[in-house]
Amino acid sequence: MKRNARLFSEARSWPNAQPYLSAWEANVEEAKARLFNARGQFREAEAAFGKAEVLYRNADVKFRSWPVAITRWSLWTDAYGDYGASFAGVAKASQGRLVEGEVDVRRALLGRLKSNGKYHVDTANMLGQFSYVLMEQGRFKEAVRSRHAGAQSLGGGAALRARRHELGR
Amino acid sequence: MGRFEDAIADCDKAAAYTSDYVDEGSRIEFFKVGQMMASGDFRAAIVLLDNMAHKLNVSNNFKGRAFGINSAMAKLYL
Repeated sequence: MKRNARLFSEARSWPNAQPYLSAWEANVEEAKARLFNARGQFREAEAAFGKAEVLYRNADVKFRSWPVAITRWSLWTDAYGDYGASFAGVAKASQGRLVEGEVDVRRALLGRLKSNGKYHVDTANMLGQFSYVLMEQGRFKEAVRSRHAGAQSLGGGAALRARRHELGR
Repeated sequence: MGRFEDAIADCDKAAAYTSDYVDEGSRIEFFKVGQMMASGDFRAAIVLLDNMAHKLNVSNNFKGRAFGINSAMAKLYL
C-alpha cells in the first residue's frame, strides 16, 4: 500500500500517464480502505472505499473514450467500482448505519447482476455481503435467502464446494 | 461456473502461446491471479504476482503496472 502511495505521487509527472491516473489512484485508495477495514477503522474505510468507487467509475468512463488497447480495462474498473460501493456499504453497516449500508450493497449487487448475471462469483460475493447487512438488521429470513441465492449462483466443481460451504455458513 | 482449476489451466495454456510477456503474457497471468484469488489459493497468487513484478521489472520499466500488482498483493496479504 505504501509502495503504491509513493509511486502515485511521482506518476502524475510521467508521460502518457493521463488515461490511467484515476485507476491508479483508485488502487491506492482501495488498498488503504482494506487495511482500515481489517483494523476495524470503519469510518476511514468507508471514506476510502467511497473514494475508490468514484475513482474506478471515473477510470471506467476515461478508459471507454481511449483507443481499444485501453478501453478493454473498463471490464475491470466496472467491477471494482461495484466492489468499492459494496465494501463502503459494509463499512457503514459496521458503524450501525444499516439502512445506508444496505442501499450501497444493493446498488453494487444490481451492478454485478446487470454486468455478469446471476451465475458469477462476483454476484455470489455481493449476495454474501447483502446477506450480512440484512442479518445485522435482524432480517434473518431474507439474509438466509440471500446466502442461498449466493450459493446457487456458484455452479458445481470441487473448488466451489468449499466456497459454497463458506457462503452457506 | 466456478471451474477455477480449469480456468487456471487454460490461463497456463494461453500464456504458453504468447511470445509477448509485457502486453499479453503478464495480462493473462493477472487474470490467472484473479482466478486463484476466487478459488482461495492466496499464497500461490502472491508468488505469481511477485514473479510478475520481477519479470516486468516494475521498479525501472513498466512502473504503471506496479499499481495493480501491489494492490492485488495488499488484498491477498489481508
